[in-house]
Amino acid sequence: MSKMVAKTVARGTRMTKKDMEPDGPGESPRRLSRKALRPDDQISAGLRQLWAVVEQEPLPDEFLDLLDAIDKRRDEGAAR
Amino acid sequence: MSAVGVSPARLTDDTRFRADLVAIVPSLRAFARGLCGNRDLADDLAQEALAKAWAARASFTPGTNFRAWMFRILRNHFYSVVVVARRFVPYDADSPAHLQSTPPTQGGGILLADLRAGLATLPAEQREALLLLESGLQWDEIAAVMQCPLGTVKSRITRGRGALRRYLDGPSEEVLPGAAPCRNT
Repeated sequence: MSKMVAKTVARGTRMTKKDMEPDGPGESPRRLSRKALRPDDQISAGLRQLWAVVEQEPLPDEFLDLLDAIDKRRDEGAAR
Repeated sequence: MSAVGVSPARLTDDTRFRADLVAIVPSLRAFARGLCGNRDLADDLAQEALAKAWAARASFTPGTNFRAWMFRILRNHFYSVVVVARRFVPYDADSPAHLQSTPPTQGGGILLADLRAGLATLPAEQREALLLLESGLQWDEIAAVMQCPLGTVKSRITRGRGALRRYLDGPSEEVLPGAAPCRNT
């Protein structure tokens, strides 16, 4: 797991960085330790991790195209 | 459109607004993904929200919460188009967790796939409230995004968490009356 994800997940919870590390060899790094968290905390941490995973994905080209179109419209407005 | 063009101040505002749009794209995608659970549909939602926000940029009040404003545009679009048109697909092929027939978590912690599958079982309003709570918004901002009273937000979060907990815990292991005892041979 990247440091950014670990930091995001740990934000606002009582988790430490160590809690975000796999419990042992071969275990998924996306498993949140149950040792340090209450059930609601686990859900919160998991939801934050879901956010972080998507937020770290590279932007698809469609978004870049859309932003380019916005730039074009803005520039056209400025040229008038 | 004015024949004299766009004022420098307006151009500066547009440039700033555009920068804010770029910065919020990852969060928009994450919120949309959480709402509908489908990668392609979520990206469509996020792009529509961006386009709508750009078109309505004059109605945004600088200094107010841009994040909440964008989330509100996206969720309104989700409810007005996706749900009403019944295009809602809980989960797609890139997230096969929805195919599992038995609830997860037989020991260990929470797996993200389990959490995604659990979210898909919630009513959209509860899923939305849980996602917004973890997005960094304050309670009153969540209520503004969801356009409902604060008490309703809290209720949806409480019920959503409870339902997720039950889903993640899996079925209880009570022995049904009349069931044959398990024998180890």
